[in-house]
Amino acid sequence: MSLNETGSVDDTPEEIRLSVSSLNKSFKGRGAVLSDVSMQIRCGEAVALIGGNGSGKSTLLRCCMRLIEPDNGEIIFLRQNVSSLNKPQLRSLRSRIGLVFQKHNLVPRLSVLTNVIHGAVWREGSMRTYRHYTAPDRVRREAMICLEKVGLPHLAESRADCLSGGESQRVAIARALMQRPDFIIADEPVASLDPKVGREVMELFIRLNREEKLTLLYVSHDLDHALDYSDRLIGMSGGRVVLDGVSRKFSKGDLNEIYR
Amino acid sequence: MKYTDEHNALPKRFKMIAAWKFVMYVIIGVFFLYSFSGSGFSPSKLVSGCPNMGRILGEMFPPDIHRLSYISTAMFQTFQMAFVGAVIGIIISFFLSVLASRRNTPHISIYYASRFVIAFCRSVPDLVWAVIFVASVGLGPFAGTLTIIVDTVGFCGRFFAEAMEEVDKGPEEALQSMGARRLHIVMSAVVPAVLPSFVNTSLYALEKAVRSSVVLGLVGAGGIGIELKVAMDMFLYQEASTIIIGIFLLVVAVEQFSMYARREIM
Ligand SMILES: Nc1ncnc2c1ncn2[C@@H]1O[C@H](COP(=O)(O)OP(=O)(O)OP(=O)(O)O)[C@@H](O)[C@H]1O
Ligand SMILES: [Mg+2]
Repeated sequence: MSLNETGSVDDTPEEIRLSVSSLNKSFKGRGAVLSDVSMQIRCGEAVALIGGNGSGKSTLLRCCMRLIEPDNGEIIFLRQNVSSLNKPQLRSLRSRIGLVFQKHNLVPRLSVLTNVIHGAVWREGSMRTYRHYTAPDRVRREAMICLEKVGLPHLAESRADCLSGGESQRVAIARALMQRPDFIIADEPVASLDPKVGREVMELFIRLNREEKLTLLYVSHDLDHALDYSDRLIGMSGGRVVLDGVSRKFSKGDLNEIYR
Repeated sequence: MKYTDEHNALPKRFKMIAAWKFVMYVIIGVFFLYSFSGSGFSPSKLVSGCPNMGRILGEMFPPDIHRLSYISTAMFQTFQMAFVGAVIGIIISFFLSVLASRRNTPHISIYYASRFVIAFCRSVPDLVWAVIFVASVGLGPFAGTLTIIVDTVGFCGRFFAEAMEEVDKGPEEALQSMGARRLHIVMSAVVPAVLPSFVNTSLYALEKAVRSSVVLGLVGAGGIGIELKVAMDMFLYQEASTIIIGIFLLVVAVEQFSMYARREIM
């Protein structure tokens, strides 16, 4: 369940949560990375974003969070025009979106628990969330619950830079859950996981999607996952959206087309 | 095996250098020779001075330990100056370096201002600072401590800021994407990542502070240096040797400690 800006409960399934229109982005010396990208994601949907290496998926996700500035185009995220927000508004918007990075981006040398607690930074707004040993009890408990959801409560005290690839991936997911997000964006969330854990994590995402009405947008290079764990598929190639439709209408052969 | 491929000729061992580079080397060489006169370098003086040096060294033995307790007190005070100055300097450097790193500074003008402060602290030599502080707060260890603070800021400020700019951007971006403000990002993502390099730099700063605190006494800024000067000026070479040995032991002890700490903390 999610609260909109006015504080009222808002779970009409048709409501558009993320709308990107005519987005363009180019980097110096690289040319266009995104050309005229448009897409819409509705409340409660689980959407898989697929496309070859370098097709612009991560760049698109970064633009949505305004971690990089698009050249032009419009992004409406949770009813707010991303490019017109001031800094506090932008922070507040970001806090409602859990972003799991392709490279996990945990803070090295800090404990797993501290890393997860960082997910509450905006909500708590105090210096106590800098480290787990200063955080309030309820925050620490909530962080442990998030770690339990990804199956790693026993690693709470380990250092984040001593984890295996799959463990650090799941800690990054727990950190995103700690944000109590309305929307989760995950960039290749199962790329470094073994097949079994990969399925478990995808099932966790889908359970959150179904039970807690969390809208989900994730990147995957695993076409079976993309087909099994999504309502809708968006395919990108060369910085353009080349495929967008209900997942069950596609076969694996259709999807392989976009990697040509 | 014979290298026969004609299309990929072996590179020449030496390449012709450009004319202007050649001229530059010649100018540097000539200037070096010319500078001998300016530097007063004179082998004959060195040779004739050797007996003096030998005599002084001879007169230094055996070291005079009559005033040992007094000298140890002064030595201890020197170390305290260095320690307090280095710690305060490191703390100031930390805040200054946050402002002086491009990614963390709140405003570009603050960035340039803090860079300037750090560069200024560094480029004025410590003895000059000491003279200035002695003139303003009077003779004694406080002037020396202030000097060490300023010297440490010049040294640590620069290396802290560089470490912050080199650190991996990923964790910062992650905190940013969760709605963290700049201060939080610095404390939670930047500091843990640069901590090893901070500790390393800080330990060097402490070693450097101990070494410079020894000479600060020469201009009256407290510590053992003044004792050494007085002993030398009054030809008390045996006492001077005790002081020199003491300085040596102090510096070595601090360096050993810092090596040990580095190993433990890394
Ligand atoms: N900051 C940047 N500066 C210059 N070029 C960039 C930058 N970020 C991304 N690119 C380029 O943009 C292109 C798209 O990158 P992006 O990371 O979005 O691809 P991707 O679809 O996520 O690929 P992958 O599946 O390998 O993760 C790449 O060619 C990359 O080199
Ligand atoms: Mg990517």
